[in-house]
Amino acid sequence: MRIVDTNIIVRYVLRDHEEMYAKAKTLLEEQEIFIPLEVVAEVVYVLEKVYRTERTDIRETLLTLSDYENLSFYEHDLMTESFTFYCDERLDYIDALLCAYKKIKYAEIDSFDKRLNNVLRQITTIDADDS
Amino acid sequence: MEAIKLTKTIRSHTLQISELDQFQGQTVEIIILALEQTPRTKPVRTQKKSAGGMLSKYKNIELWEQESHAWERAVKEKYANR
Repeated sequence: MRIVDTNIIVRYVLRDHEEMYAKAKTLLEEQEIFIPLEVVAEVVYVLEKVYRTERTDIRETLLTLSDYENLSFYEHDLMTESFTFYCDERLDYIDALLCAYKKIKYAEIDSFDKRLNNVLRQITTIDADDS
Repeated sequence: MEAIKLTKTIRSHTLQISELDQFQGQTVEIIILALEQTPRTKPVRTQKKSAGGMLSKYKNIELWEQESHAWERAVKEKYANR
């Protein structure tokens, strides 16, 4: 299994250093790479908190990356759904992931965070046994 | 015996199969069978759009050293508002 660190993805999407971009491009476009959710989360934080990137731009870019045939993501559908909550509800990315866990995996989420709880309450899930 | 045959590419630990409606309430047997694939000499990127440089309008190399503190900053900002 080959995994890339956050900075490989950040250099690739920002293209702010041509030599590093070329190395990142080779890895991300030609190698079989696994990208854990932890790396996705850190990429989001770097782009949002450091580079002040618009959430919708982050979503579009990472979802484009997730379409690469040679890249595999942990719980791809979870990651895809998390960006809906991240952009539409403007939640912190980890909170958005928790919402995706509820919607996709039917997980019960407990939190003291009122804002998160408000969003969680609005998520309707379809139980496989309720037909 | 009802049966369906599907071909899907596994990308995560979860599969969404809308065709399962007809089996609701039934006990089913699930078999995952890997299809043989033609060996590739080099992985081929088949996606139409590239993410490379998609966010280049935000680049600022003076911010590089802040990258390692991004997660910490996110946590501080999140809990500062409570």
